[in-house]
Amino acid sequence: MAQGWKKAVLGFTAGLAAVGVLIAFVHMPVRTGCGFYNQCGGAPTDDGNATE
Amino acid sequence: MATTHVNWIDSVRGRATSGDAKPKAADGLIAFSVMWAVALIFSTVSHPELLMFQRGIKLALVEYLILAAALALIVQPRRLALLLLLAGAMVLQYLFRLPVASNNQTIAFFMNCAIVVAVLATWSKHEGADLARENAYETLRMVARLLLATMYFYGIFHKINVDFLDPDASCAVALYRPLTSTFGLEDNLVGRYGSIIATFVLEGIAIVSLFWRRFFAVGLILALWFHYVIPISAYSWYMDFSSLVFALYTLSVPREVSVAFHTRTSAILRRVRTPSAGVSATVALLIGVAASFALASYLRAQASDLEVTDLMVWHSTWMVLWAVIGGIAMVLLTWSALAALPYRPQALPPVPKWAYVLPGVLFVSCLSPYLGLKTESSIAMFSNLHTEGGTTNHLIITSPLYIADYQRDVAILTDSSDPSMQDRARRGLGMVRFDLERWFRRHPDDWVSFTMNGRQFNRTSAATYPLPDYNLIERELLVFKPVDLARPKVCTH
Repeated sequence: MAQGWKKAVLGFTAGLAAVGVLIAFVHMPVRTGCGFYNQCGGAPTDDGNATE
Repeated sequence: MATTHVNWIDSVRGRATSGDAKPKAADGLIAFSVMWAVALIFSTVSHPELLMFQRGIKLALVEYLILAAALALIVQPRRLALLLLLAGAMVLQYLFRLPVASNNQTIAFFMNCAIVVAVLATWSKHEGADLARENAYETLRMVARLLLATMYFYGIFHKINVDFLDPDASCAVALYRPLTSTFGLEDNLVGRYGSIIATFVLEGIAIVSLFWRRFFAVGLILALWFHYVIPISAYSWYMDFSSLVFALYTLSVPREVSVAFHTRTSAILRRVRTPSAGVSATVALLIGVAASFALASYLRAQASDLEVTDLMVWHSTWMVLWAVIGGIAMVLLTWSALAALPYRPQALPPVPKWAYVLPGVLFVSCLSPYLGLKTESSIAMFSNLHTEGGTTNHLIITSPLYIADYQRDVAILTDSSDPSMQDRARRGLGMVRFDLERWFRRHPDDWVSFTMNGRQFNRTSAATYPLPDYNLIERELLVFKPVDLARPKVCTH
């Protein structure tokens, strides 16, 4: 049972990593035309503090 | 196919066992060193203007020194001297850039200070290389755990405000929407409220699991999922923050998990015919950067109907790289954590008292927004928190407890000769008086029109505005967010 849970969690994590690469590709600013804070259409992409 | 999969896993396990029959505890420090180097690379490239010499040659040289030290550390992760060089260079860079707004760079600053002190302190005792590594490792583990705890504490506390709980304004929803738009779920009401609740639940579990060590894996794995996903929303440059958290977790998890993570990663990297796992990792990283940049540049060329800036290409490059590197690290760390279950915590060895001081200073400094001090660099990122102008939207501290007046007066901008200030005026943003006065000093030839405390100032410049003298500590440590006057307070950063 415990092994089953471990495999399920690891499998989900691996799936998340795979889907994550797909989502990152879809959301690439060069594809969406949107910069930081979802500002699109050539709006300023950085107010100097756009990092967490 | 299934057979191949099993063989691959077995081969990794086999190498992990045979290649490291007696894994040293300090192998965890090696794993951290590589993760820390990667995190600091993500941090350094987050401000390309410094790399392009736009803020002076001194800062640019430090930036390139950091990149060189980080790559050297990935090649030779056992070298404490390289870790010391990297941490020292990052401390210098932070001091040169003061005041720094970035929250993750502030957390990294405290960690880098801890690395410098820990390595120098252990070397000064002349205990031999192995013992020095062991002592530095144990001390830094405690610092990492306390820094993560501070981060999660304020990650929750600052968000206990009216606007974070409002699905029309919440930063949780601002991140939820782009992440789920791919699946058409961005306007789902359950998802929008769920993202707000999940933020509190995830960060709450993460902080509890840091100290309830028997259940470390629950907090670790949830945190890995959470921090892996955030950067791929593309909402902001989160890669440095997430990689920093991954690195701190690599250090703070039980040592057998760090060792297993190191062993598994090394086993995979040694499958490539290079002199060492470090060389393989460095080559893989450089190829990854080149491939991501080529992909981003190609897509930019194809997107002729979109207005794509250079910064978007840069952001895209590192975001895709994070998705791959962060994904691999997340899987390997999760795998290593699961293998350590069920976990029976051992008593922690004593660490020097200073290991508690650095996180303690960070903890106290993050109360600044409520005390009328800085509003940036207080781990209040994406919290919707406002404390300026004598009011706050916080639900526990319902009235600011100002001990200083830096946030008391807010200038509402209406016009300016400076494009960035004009943009702020157009967006209805204000700024605290201290920030406005700093702007006057930095822009002696520009003017700004604004209203403050009911008084109108037209085309005011440094020559016509009385500027008080601020001391070094005020100038270097106080940094403020633009003041958003709209209610509900929408998510900025």
